[in-house]
Amino acid sequence: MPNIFDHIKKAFHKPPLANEDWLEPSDQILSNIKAAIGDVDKKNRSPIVFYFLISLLVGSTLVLIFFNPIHQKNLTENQTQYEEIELSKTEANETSQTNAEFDKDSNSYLSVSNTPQIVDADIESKDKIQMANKVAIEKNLIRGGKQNLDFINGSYKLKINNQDTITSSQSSTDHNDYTQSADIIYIENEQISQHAAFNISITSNLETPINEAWNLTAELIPAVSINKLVKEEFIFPTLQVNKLSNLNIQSITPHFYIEAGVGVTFWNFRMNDDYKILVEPANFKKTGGVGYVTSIAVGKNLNPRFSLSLNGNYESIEFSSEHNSAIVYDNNLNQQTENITMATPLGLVNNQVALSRTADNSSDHTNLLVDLENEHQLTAVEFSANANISLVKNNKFSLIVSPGFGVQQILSTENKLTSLNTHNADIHDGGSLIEGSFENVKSINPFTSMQISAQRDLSDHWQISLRLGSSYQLSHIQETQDLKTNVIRYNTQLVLRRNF
Amino acid sequence: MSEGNPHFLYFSVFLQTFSLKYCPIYMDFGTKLIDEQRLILKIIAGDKNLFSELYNRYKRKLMLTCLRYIPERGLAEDALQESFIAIYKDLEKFDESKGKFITWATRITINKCLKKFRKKSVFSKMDSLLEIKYKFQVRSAAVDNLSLKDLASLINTLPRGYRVVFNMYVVDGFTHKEIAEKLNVSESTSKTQLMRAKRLLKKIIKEEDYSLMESYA
Repeated sequence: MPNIFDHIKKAFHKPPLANEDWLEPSDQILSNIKAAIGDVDKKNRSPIVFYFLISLLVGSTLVLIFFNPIHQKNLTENQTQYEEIELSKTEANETSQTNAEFDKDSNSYLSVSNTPQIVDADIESKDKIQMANKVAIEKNLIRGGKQNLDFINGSYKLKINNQDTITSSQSSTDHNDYTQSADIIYIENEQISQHAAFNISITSNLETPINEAWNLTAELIPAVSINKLVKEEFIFPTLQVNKLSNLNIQSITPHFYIEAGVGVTFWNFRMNDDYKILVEPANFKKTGGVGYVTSIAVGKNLNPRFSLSLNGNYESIEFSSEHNSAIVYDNNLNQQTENITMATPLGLVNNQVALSRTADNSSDHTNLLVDLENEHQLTAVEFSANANISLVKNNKFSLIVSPGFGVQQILSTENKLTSLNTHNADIHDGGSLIEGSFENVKSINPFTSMQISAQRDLSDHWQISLRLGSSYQLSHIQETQDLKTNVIRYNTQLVLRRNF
Repeated sequence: MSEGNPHFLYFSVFLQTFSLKYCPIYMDFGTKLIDEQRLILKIIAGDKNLFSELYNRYKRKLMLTCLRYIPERGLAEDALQESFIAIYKDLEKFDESKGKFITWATRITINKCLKKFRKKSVFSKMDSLLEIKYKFQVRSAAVDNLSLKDLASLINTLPRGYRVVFNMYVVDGFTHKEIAEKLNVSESTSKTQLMRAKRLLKKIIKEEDYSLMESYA
């Protein structure tokens, strides 16, 4: 007696496959195999490259934080609304040129050269330098009741690249600000150009011995920051005055900022192979989660190109899923309640659906293939720390990348059965509702993120940016035995920043 | 020096490789079996380009195996790709005295397919819940007139756990003991899954009005 299973076995064992074109693998398979057998070690290199790139990123970040030529100096305790940095006393060999100038002129003065490193750090600000024909000396730099340098009561001479540039008398006649304000002196400076290395020296007849007195240094700070302190017309660079014995340099980079943003978010639910294989026969379909995101952040500028920030996001999304399910309807009943496990991107949900019969049927039962459509809602908050690195920075525009790490908490989930179609004219939905909830959704999930922001200055204190971000969950958002779902999130936000 | 001695095996492979390299005319005589053996030895000797020939000979047969275990074509192709890479890497281990190349290659392919499901998820709790949710569209005809594609689709209607055990036992000739070891389950589980798979297949065939169903029952 023939057996159906023997027949199946024979059919698969020595089948003639010449005409079975549906078994032809795609061409890419052979290419992949050739590539794999051609260089077996190639696969093994990928983790090394990955770890190398990660190490490079971490190393670069650490270098930026700890070895930045401007900020490797220690912070003083006298921090007001501006950052004050204490410098070590100038070494004798570093001031030899200064002493020579001093002997020659028999005046008290100090010569300071800005370091090439500092200039290089802002070399892309060339255009700004070239535009500048004024340099301001802010004399009242030392805050907190400390000594002021009084240029007004003494005559002085400023040299740039060893050329006399201005004297106090010129300044007083040329610039009203000089006489009107004791804080700022404007100095005409045609010599300052885009050339990086230039020497600035100041000659003064102040009574204070120069080798114990004032040091003048130049610090190249983006004009956008300078504007915040001085005034609109003041351009790059600024000169800062320090006393050797108690040196405080004022950095004009804003110290803190806060941000607020709003935008749209998209969640891509990625079910693992086991899950996909399992639900594929049920003709499972899903959509990604779409919704809105609001965010706030506080940040601290460590230098003009690097800042750290703490961010908080709130997200609300909606998504849907559908599949079919086999139900055997007992025709002896007018209404039948059926327990169904529904598959969703966030795991399985146990439910009861009610079906009602509207016409008599002579057979004992009816086999139904029911289409189920569900809608889901989810809200979540997340907190993350980001390192913000300015890749491009010019007049009023910055391009910033922000790698980060954070934790997300799922606040709420909601399910709704939106459609139940029996494909049978006599049996209908009897008022079904989803009663179950996502039992295996993890409420707390760590993630890594990467954002890129195009930022524009609106004024001294306000900036606006368009931000594109993506986040990758480091753990599965749901895990039901081997059925797992991961999430990659994308968002676009408009962000407003206030600097302090 | 016995044939079980690995040194003998290496020496044998060396001799054959040497012969292939320097005595091609002599080795060109022979049957198809020798051709296959010759092909394999040439690949072992370092002629990677000939692996394409091996691939072309067996790709459909092994693709059929993959599709029996994994209905989703993309994943089945992944398994096929991994299988051929494993076959290449282990080609030196193939011992023709123990069986045909295709039998050996099929076992490797089955192992790769099983790896696609982790052992726990071969038997998922969804198996009992998602039975027959796939509308099996076949023409009303005798089972023995079904095409190979229809038969593969028929097996693919089974839930994963049933399908794997059915394939392993009925089609690929594993014993329940072997299945239990491979899937890390008990033999009784394997037998139960097979029984349910057969019952479900009969039910599907009956519902789809196979005219010869009665003769098989």
